[in-house]
Amino acid sequence: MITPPLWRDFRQNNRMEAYRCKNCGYVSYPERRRVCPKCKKAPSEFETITLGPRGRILTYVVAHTLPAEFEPPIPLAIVELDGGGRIYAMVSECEPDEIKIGMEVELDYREIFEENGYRVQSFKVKPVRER
Amino acid sequence: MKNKVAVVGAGMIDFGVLYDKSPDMMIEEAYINALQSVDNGIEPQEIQAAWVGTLRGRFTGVTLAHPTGLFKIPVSRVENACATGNDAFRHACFAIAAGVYDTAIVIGYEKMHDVKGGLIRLAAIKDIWMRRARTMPSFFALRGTRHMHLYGSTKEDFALVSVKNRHNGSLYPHAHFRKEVTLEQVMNARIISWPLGLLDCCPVTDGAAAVIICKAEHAKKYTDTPVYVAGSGLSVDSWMLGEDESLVGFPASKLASRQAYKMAGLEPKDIDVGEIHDCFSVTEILNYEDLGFCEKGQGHKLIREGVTTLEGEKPMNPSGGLISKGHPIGATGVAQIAEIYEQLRGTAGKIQVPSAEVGITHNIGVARDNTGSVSCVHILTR
Repeated sequence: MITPPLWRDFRQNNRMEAYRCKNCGYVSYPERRRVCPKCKKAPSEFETITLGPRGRILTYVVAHTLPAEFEPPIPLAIVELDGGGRIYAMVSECEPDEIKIGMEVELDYREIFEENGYRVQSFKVKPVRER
Repeated sequence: MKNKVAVVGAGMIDFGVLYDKSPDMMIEEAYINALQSVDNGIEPQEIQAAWVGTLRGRFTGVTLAHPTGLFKIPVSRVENACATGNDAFRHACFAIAAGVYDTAIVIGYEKMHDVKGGLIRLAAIKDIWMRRARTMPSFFALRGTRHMHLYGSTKEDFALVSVKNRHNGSLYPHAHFRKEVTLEQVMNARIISWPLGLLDCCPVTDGAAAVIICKAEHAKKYTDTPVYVAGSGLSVDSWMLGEDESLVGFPASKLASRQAYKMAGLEPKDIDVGEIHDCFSVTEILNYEDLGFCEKGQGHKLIREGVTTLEGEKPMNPSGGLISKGHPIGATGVAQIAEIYEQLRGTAGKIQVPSAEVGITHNIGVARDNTGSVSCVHILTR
């Protein structure tokens, strides 16, 4: 990992900035800015929106066999965020058997790796709990 | 392209952990086996063009030319994730069907054991979209969890695929694993990515396979029993398009197979035998649905009812599939073509499906930060 992509994609990765196609309404997240992969309009116009902070688990697994950098078991889910957009996210602050498809979760910022002394943060998700 | 191309030769090597064989030795052996398999013989000089399928990025067409001596002619390399082998074959078919060449060879190979890292390591790549504990087993297991939730399939249904395929593999000389497993062993194997355990996963395997094709009018010169390419299809997709179907199956497989069925003028019910992409047990169940052998959400019933066993009405993966045979990525799709070629000619030995006339090959691969998929399908006929 090198710094330019982290800088370039910061608003997507850390502010959950997404783009909604003005032609078909598809929410593109991450990475699309000019071409809509859904209606194929090219170029299309997009409006900038912010996803989350909550979403729902569409499906999940519990990863037991992982490289040494991880401490398994780690639940991994595909989450649909409020406002649209689907992400892969590790599920933190819960036991694997608490997880259910359809469960409501919220974004949770964590350090996901360190590179040359730079602590790179991005989202995980955690269950929405009564406070 | 329908029926304009014929397969007239196919060669494989025994798949496995081949520490004593270099990539060149593997390609050379598959090449010689393919040449020698041609009933009426073929001279290397008759091969006018070649395609090689492999994932190893720095390799090129020259990778094939060196061990085969097929210099001077056009040789191209194809890479398209796990669909590499079937896609390399597809490229060669286009060239023959277009009338540009009369005879061509396709070789797929992969040396999985000379490289460090592997697909579990992908989870640790220092990239903001990669570093999410995602592995290949997880990519497929995610669909398994949702399939269980929506349609009532179980971990045991997935395990039955491994039991079936390991049985078939025990009968197939080229398979990496030639030993059966019990349902209990699969269910109790250590978990890799729940719901999938170790015996739900294909092994890490070295292998190579080669097929020789020619324009259909020339086929009888090489053999009395050629096999024709009736249909071909390829599709790429991503779950980021937001379609729920892609969370519990692969629209790419569905679309690639529909293209192939349409070209062939055939339907799923016409398929007698298939070599389909069982990289993980659950994948085969999803394939049954995506390839149209049953309705969405019914795939697990086919394995429960034994429909896809060697003795069943629609045998799938008589070779033992990727779960037994292994998945040397570039070789996998080409090996499937070679296996269906043998099935349709009636030369598949202990794994022969009686009077098979129409066969299907299918790959489904993962691409683009574990969000995309690519599928390639062929339909072959006697």
